[in-house]
This record gives sequence, structure tokens and C-alpha cells, in this order.
Amino acid sequence: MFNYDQIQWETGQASGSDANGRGGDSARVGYSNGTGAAGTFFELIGSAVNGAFLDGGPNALISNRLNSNINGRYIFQARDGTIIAPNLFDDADGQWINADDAFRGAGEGLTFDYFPSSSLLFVAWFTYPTQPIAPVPGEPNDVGESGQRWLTAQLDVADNIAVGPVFSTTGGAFDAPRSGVQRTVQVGEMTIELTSCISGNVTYSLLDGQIVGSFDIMPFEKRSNPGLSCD
Amino acid sequence: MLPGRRGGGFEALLDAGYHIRFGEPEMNLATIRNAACLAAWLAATAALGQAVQPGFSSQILPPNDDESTELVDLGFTVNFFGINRSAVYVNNNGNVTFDQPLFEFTPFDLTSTSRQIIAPFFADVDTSDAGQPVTYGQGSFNGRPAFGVNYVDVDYFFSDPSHTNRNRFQLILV
Repeated sequence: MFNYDQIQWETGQASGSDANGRGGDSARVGYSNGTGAAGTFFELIGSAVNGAFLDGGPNALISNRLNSNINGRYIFQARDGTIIAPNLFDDADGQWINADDAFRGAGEGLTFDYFPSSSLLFVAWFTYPTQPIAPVPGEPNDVGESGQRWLTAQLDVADNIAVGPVFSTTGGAFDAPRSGVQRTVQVGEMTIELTSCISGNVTYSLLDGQIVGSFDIMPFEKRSNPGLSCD
Repeated sequence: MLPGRRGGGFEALLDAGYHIRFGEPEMNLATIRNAACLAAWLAATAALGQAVQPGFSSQILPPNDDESTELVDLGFTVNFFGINRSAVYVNNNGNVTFDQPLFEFTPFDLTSTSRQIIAPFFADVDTSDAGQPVTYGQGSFNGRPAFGVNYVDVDYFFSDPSHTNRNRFQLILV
């Protein structure tokens, strides 16, 4: 457990800091067992980043927390010799978007809902058709474009990676259940890896490998607030 | 004591526009419109600056720069990635190590090191001429045996009484 109440300097003057203990090769926070084996080392985001850990900084140690409800307290849980890395999906519920700026306003996104008790991530992945197609007046789904697209996925989560099948559901309409018309079929698989609380990537393979690809994702909020931190 | 007014209570504080600080954030009382808002703000900030636990200070690493203790008993055994350890070196520069003392003062990459290290704040702590020395010792946390190291009000290299900026952090192994 790491506890922080006040961080007003980050570097010694023999490591390149100024007279106030700022700048240069600034502090690192984490652990290692020295083997380099996967999962045996960790460095907190903000390590070696000038200003990051200082009070009021973008990754201020006193203002953030890990597995804790107390600001400035970071708890690393160990079982049987292994420190359990934080499950980033615990705090990932909500809206994520394609991080490529070319997708700004393009209407593509993923909505996450994580079920900790079953380590299951429910995903709604939505986008729009390449061409608008007018709905048929009088049909139950005559709101929006009839070609609007969304897929769902139910992914198993382990080690900050979610893997599982992708489904397509057709035949539905807003507030109009239509028995015998609605149909859900698996159309492929996807993998979502979170690399921090504000970054991740998606890889997918749909229609027996006819459509494959990958893209980086970030929380929707980061679009309007580029400086969003892991607070 | 708050400046200026007497007997005005909360309204006087509003009039005075008095700034109160509890770590961060800072808030001007004049912007607080009602008691409920104040209560909500206090609740949101009350945890700031209260993470460090008292205790774990039975032993002291005397004022120094870049020094370490001998192997210190934890009072219990930890399984650190398959290696059972019951003692650590407490290093002045914001970390403990299991393998050897660590005198390095410029933090190296923890994701590629060959050292067995736990570092709450790996940087050039210098307690030789200002601030408080590092303390450590056994204790308990939530009823379980624990070992703590306190870097509370520590100065940085070159330690100097003219420095007013201090760090307060702590490592607890449970």
C-alpha cells in the first residue's frame, strides 16, 4: 500500500531538477521482482513525467487512488506471490469512442457495461451506414435511418483483456416487440484491451474473417477534454 | 483564527471571501451558496491529505543522503512473486529492496530493472540537513501484521533548510 499526503518535489538536484526539486529525471512509482516476467513489474502512470505526480499535477498522487476510496491511497493486492494488477474494466463503464481524430463526429462508439461478479463485459458497438436510407413511413421502426447499425458483444474479461463473440440483432423496433421477427445471430469475434483507464484498443473479425481490423479507443469525455486523467 | 470579523459566523466568512485550503482544490467561500453545498464540498475533499497512517515509526534511519538500513525484519513473511521474504532493506530514496540495499538516487525504469524493489516514490530523498528523517517499523493494519516506512516531511537533494517544499508519503506492507 502506498500512501501520499503531500508531494511538493519530484527530483533531486543531482538528477537534473531545478532548485525547487522539479524537472529532470523525476520520480517513479511502482514495483518489480527483477525478472522482467510479465505481470511481475508495474510503474504508475505519471512516473518520470515532469510535474505529473505533484500536488495539482495531472496524475497528482494525493488526488488519485487505486483499489481504495481514500484519496492518496494505492492498494496493490497480492495473493500467493502475485500482485493482482488493477482491473481497468471495473471503472470503464460508459461511452468509449474511436480515438482516431478522423472519427470526430462520425458517430462510431462503444458502450461498456461490466459485470464484476461474472467478469463479463457487455458491449454495444454502433455506427452508421455509408449512405442514409430513409425509413419506411408507417413501419414500427420509422425513427432514424433504417440503415443505422449496431452490434453487441458479450466478452469474458481477464488481465484487462476482454474476448468473445459479437452478435447482430435484427427485426426490432423502438417500444414495439415483434415476436418471431427479432433475431440475434453471432457475426464474429472481438477483443478489447484496456491499456489504462483512458486508453485501449479493439480488434475484430466479422463474417468469417471477411471484415477484420483494429482501432484505438478512448473515453468519450476525452474528446472534449484532451487532458483527461485517470482520476 | 479567521481574520477580520467577529461573531458573524458563516455569513461573515462569505463576506470576507476567505479562502480555505485543504490540500487541493482551493475554494473561495464566497462562492458557496448554502450549507449543503459546503457540506458536499467538505465530504469530497475530506480524504485529501489523510492517506498516511500513524505508527510504523519505532526505528529511524538517521539523517543521511542515499543510505540504507541493514536487513530489517518485517515480522511476517511475504511471497513476492514466488520468493518468500521476511526482511527488507529500507532505502532513503523512497523505496525498499529485497535483494540488496539500493543507493541509486536517480530513478530507473521499474519495468525493466533486475532489482527486487517496491517504490512508493523513487527519487533523491535527502534528509541530511532539512526535513524529517525516514522512520520505519512493525505494526498492524486492519488487524493484520504490517510493516511500514514513513517518508514524512522529507527533503530532496541538496538538502537545505531553505527548502520549504516537502513530501509526505508512506509504504505499508500487510
